[in-house]
Amino acid sequence: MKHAPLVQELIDAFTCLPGVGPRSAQRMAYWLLERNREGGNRLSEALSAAMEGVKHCEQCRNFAEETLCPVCLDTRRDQALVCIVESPADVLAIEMSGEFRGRYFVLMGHLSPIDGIGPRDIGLDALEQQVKNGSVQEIILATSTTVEGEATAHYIFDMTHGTSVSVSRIAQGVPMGGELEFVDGVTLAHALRGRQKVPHSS
Amino acid sequence: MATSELSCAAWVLHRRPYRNSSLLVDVLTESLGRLCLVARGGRRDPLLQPFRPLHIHIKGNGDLKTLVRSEAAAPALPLAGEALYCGLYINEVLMRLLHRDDPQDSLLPLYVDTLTNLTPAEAAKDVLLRNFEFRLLDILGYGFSLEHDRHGAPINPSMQYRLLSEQGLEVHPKGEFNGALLLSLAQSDWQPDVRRLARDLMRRALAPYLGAKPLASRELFRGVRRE
Ligand SMILES: [Zn+2]
Repeated sequence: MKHAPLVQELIDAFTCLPGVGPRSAQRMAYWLLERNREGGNRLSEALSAAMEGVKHCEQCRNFAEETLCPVCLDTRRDQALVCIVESPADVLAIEMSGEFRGRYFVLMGHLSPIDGIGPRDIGLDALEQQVKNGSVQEIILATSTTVEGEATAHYIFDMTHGTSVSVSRIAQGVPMGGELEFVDGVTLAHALRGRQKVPHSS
Repeated sequence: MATSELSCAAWVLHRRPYRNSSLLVDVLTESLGRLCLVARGGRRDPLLQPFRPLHIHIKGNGDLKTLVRSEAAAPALPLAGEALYCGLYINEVLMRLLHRDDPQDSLLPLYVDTLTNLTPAEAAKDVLLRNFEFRLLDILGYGFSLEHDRHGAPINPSMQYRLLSEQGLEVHPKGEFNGALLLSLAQSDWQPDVRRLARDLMRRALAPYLGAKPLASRELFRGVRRE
C-alpha cells in the first residue's frame, strides 16, 4: 500500500529509533495520527527543543544544556574524583546507587579500533588534558567488561603514568541475590580472581 | 535449500550490534575461514568475545549463517595491556585482509599461537607481530623473499633495497631497506635496528591490502610507555 507522502515521511523518520523496523514505525505513526494528535505535537516540540538545546558538557561530555552539566557544577561533589563510564545511561545507574560523590567523564563509547574508533573519538585527549593540568586526583574506571572496555581502561591507566593520579577499576563479580549455579563461567572466573579476604571480626 | 548444521572451533574477530539484542559476529574458523554469523540475543552472551576459544554450532547457507549455540572450549586468553592492543591489532588486520568463506589451512594455528605467545608479560611483542604479519602475507599468497631480490639474485649486504608489492625486493639507490639488515632479519637476528626495519618493511608490505583507512589500533600503541 502506498501512504500519503507526509505519512510515509513520518514512518521513515520513526525507523531511526533503535529496534524499530518499518512495521512498528507504521504502527506508531498511525497511532499518533488517529488517536493522539496532542501527544504527537508534544513529541515533536520536545524533540526539536532537545535536538537544538542539548549539548555536551565541556568537562565530562555528558548531556548538558549549559557549558557544564549539573554534576560538574555541583560544588558539594568532589570534582577531583572522576568516574569514567561509557554512556549517559551508566551515569544514571551509578547515581541511582547513591554511593558516588565525585564527578564523571562520559566516553560516549569505548575504544574499538576495528570499527575505526580510536582514543580521540571517545574524548581521551580531553581527559588527558584534565589529568595533566592537575584537576583530577583519582580515577575510577567503570568501563564495561568487554575486551573493548578493558582496552579502554588500560589506555586510560597508561595515560596517568608519571602523574600522581590514583586509578582503580570497579569490582566485577557475582550479582547480589544471585545463586552461584546460574552465574556464567566468565563472570565466575572474574569473581574468583578478584576475591577478597574475609576479616575475622573481633 | 538444505540447512545443514555443523560445528567447529572458532574465535571471534569482530562483533557488531544487529537489531534489538542480536549480534553480527565475524569468526575465524579452521576449515571454513572467516564467517559472518547472526547470533540471536548475542549481546547478552558473555562468551561471544574476542580472544576466547569457542566451539560453535552453525546452520544455514550463503553469506549469512546463524549461530545456533556456542560453548567455551577453554578459558579466555589473559591478554592484558599492550598484549591486548596487539590482539586488537591482529583482529583488525585480519578483518581487512581476509575475505569471507575463503579458508586458509594454516591460518588458525598461526593466529592461536601468536595470541598465546603474546600473553606472558615478558613476550617480545613486536617480534611476535612481525612474524605473524610475515607468515600471514605468505599464507595469503603475498609473501616475498628476504634473501633474494625479485630477480632471484641474493640480497647484497652493502646495497639498499625497496619493496615492490606482489614482486619483492629490488635494488634501489634510494631504497629504505638496507641489505645487511634484511639478511639479519632473514636470520631472525632481532637487534634494535632490525626490529625497526622489520616494522617499516611489514607496514610497506601490508599497505596495499589494508585499504586507505589507517589502522586505528596502531594509535593505541602511541600511549604505551616502557618502564
Ligand atoms: Zn559535566
